[in-house]
Amino acid sequence: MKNTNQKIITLLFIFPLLTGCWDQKLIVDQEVINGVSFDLEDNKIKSTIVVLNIIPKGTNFFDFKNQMSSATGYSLEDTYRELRTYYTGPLTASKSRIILLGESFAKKNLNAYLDFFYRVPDPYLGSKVAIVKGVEASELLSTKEIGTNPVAFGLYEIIEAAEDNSTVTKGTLNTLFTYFNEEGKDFLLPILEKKGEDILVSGAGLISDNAYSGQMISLKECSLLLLIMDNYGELVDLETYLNDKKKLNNQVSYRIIKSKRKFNLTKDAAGKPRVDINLDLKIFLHQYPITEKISPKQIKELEETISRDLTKKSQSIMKKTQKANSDVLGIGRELKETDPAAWKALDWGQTYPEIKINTRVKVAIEKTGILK
Amino acid sequence: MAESHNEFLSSDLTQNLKIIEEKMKQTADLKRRKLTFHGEAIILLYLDTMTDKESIELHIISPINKQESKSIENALGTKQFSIMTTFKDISCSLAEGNTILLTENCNIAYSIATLSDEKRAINESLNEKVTMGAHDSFVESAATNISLLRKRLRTPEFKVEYQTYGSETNVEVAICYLESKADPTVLHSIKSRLEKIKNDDLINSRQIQEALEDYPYSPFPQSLRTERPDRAVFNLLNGNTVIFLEHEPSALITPISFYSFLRSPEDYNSRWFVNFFYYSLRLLAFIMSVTLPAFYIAVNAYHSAILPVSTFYTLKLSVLNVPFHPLIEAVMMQIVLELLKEASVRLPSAIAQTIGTVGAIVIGSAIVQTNFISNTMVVVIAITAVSSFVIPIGEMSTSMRLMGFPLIFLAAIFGFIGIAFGLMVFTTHLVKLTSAGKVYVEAPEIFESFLNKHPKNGKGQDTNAHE
Repeated sequence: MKNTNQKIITLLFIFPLLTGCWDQKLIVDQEVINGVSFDLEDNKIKSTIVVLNIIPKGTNFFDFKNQMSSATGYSLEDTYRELRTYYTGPLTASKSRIILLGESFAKKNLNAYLDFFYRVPDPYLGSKVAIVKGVEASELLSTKEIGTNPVAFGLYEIIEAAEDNSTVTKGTLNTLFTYFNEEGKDFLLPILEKKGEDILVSGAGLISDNAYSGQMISLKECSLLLLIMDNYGELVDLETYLNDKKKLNNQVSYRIIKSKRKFNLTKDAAGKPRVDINLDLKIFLHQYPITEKISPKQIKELEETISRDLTKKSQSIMKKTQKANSDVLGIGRELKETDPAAWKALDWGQTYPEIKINTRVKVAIEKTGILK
Repeated sequence: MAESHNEFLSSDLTQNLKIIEEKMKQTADLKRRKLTFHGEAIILLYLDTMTDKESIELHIISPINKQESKSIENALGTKQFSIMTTFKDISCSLAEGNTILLTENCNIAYSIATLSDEKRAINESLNEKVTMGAHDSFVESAATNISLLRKRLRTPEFKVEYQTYGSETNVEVAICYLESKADPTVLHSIKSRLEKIKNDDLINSRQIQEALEDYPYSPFPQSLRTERPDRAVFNLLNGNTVIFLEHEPSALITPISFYSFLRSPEDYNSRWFVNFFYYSLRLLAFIMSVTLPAFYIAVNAYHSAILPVSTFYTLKLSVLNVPFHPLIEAVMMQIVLELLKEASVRLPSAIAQTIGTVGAIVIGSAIVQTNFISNTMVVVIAITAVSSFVIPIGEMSTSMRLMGFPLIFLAAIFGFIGIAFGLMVFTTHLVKLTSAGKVYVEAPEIFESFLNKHPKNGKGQDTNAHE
């Protein structure tokens, strides 16, 4: 008994001495990747990372500096190996805020490339993913700061704000993974654009079969698409021209208070899937160019104008998604769930652009603000 | 016969006196007074340093001098006395502060209780303070302490047993319990354990505590030492036993459960949700004081991935120029803290204030400015210290703080796995612990204990309310 105890105690001492501390990563030593971007350059991947260094300037004061470096290679791991050599400590992606994809890179099969982020535990799955349009993705990272935030944080917050304002669907690296592995549903990625020195979210990019289709929904139409998807953010503001003339101050704008979507998947005579979407919106009028009492009759008219306008817009949006072959509504998934036989018989990639999607929006004005 | 001659008093007064003085090793504070009572010589013997001279004067000397009564027994009528015949009894009795009265031609002696009763007045408890509730605390006299309990427990069920311990110290130990509530088997085991130290010289209650503990090597105290009568009474009513050692201003309560250490008598004096809040706060403090530094080290050295990005950069900023490993930082800071605490306890109160200044300004802020220890580590250790001070019983509070040390080392070597392993060992140990044969830790019935305490007479149900 005593002998066994002795052995156990010796082992307990030896194990920590042999193995302990080997995976220690002190906070001081760590170099934290904040932003990553991928571009395609002469058929090679160009990875760029930005590491935020904090420089203390006495108590309570500090400055920061972005250290940016790029590497090219045939795979992500290839480039990462080179990138590691640029930094003084072990690199960690556990705090990465943003992953930017160059337009050309995004058109590749994202699933296969981003796989790198899912296999190891280190990368932060809460990072936002966005497509950069117009310029190279790495160029966006070279900006020092957005507002007062370091670039990666600024981009993260821009996208988060866009999500709240219902420009794009809420999404992170984590939600992307679920989409990658789900047949019959595509998704949206925010599109970032550089306008002068400023960076903005200019719309939502339509992803088709895990690759960017090259088509996007513009900023003004995004909110309506999200309403149709029934996946909107905290604020949904829309506007409609009062009549066909596009002139100054001729718009009524409103906020969606409540939205109810009816999604109906049926088969048409030819056996093709057919989708009817009915959107019931309760709105709060927050801008109406005529400051006067709006009579019930006018409200009726306004409701009709808005309904007509939104119906028309929604039709054109759905056409766009069909053109991009991006099934963001998950109609394919719905079909797969409700009618597996039909789903198997169809090649969804070819069917989706051709099916009939019928949308109808009905608007009821609930409030007109403190002005009657 | 030679033996008995030495053992028993003879009728020869001078011979007796000589033997007694010899027995008392001719100590200088043994005084004698010579009196006459109805023509017979009387000798009073007492230890000058222990007896109450006024009482001797008033109750022994003056009645004898008045010669009113017929016999000595009558003269001593007002005073409690006993009759002794052996020298051994006499010398013991003298050592206990009694006065021995010897008469000529008589082979018996009277031992009269004249112990000077120099007691500290009942003061407010220094170590277990409350804002609400009784403010009295135990003093260095078992009799007074028991009277404090009796005042609260006016029932014949309250039973006190005295026993004397130690061949040299001869100190009295009082075991108190409620006959109707105490578990006889537990009581029996307590008594039999105390029996084992019958001949040891008891000086402090730690010795009793040690004898009573099932696991003397455990870091956790298994009997509660309190200064507060209300706490003792509360435990008596729960069927626990209270043990007093004469000259010790505290009661030992056994068996006791772990959760009692997290309780203050004030809790039972407050509204149920206040009670609940503070109890939960102390549970939290217990967990924090044991694990917080270890947790910080593990996060710093291994698991920074779990930190939100803003916290990460705040941390990084604070540790950026610190040359030490977080483990060394933590150990250094813990030692500094223990030093400060120990210094402030040992120093006279007038100088102790200096320690506060030294601690706060010199060590607290200078150590950070010189980049020896990071700001966060100072915060972590300070929170640990404060949460351990929240625990109402000092013994437990120190145990908790010191228990953090093994966890700190485990965290530095293995990270979270080390902490989990350490806590597993602690929990296994705690669950196995018993106090006087009773389970030390049970499932914490936090909600149960409070649900039962809901005010029973709600709105309109109290008939007296309408009068």
